[in-house]
Amino acid sequence: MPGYGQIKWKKVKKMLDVCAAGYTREDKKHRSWIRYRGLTARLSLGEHGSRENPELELASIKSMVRLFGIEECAARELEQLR
Amino acid sequence: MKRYPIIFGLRDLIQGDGFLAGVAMEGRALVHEEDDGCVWVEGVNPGGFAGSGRNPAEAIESFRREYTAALYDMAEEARTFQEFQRHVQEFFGNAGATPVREWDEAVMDVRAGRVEAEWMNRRSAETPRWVQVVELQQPKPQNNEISEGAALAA
Repeated sequence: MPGYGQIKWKKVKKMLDVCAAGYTREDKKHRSWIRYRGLTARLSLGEHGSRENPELELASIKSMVRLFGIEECAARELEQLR
Repeated sequence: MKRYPIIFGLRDLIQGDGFLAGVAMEGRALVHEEDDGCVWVEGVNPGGFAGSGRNPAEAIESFRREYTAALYDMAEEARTFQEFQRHVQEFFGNAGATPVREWDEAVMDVRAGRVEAEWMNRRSAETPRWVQVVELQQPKPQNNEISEGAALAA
């Protein structure tokens, strides 16, 4: 997997729709929480992006994917995770 | 790519809605140093969050900020201290199979001498992991405690 960087939320959402069906997203004051199968990932926002399509830190996404155990599927859906 | 298993000790004072909480945690994380030189630190216990940077020190500092942000968000959500305490305990138990397995493998690598990390102190990988959340009714300087910080699990 590559090093740090950012990914737009819409791309992450598309991946989650395929790889973590049934997940939920809650925007908290400091971070976005993604819940799936009883586990919670906390995503860090990048400096840019719109409110509707924020940039998310790549390290947060990698951590989330590994927490949920969806690495193989996520790598197919997101080139930044290969 | 290089991996470093770390143990960290953190102490925080968190303000909630009508309560002040002391959070003490001894947890573990995995430092990933990618081939392109970028570094990211992934929580193992607690899991599901990460920091990153251009070098290990920067990445660990970023990880610390993410940990703090997680506690602050939990404090925002909690209507009572007991609810905050439950959130933190659940957070501590939030762990994925892959990071846990890789952390254990990285410890084996350290013990076999395959990991060079002279820039870090070492602590036993068997150091107990725990979390304590207390409501502070009567603050006293005797309660202040310097946290251990991060060390390589060996």
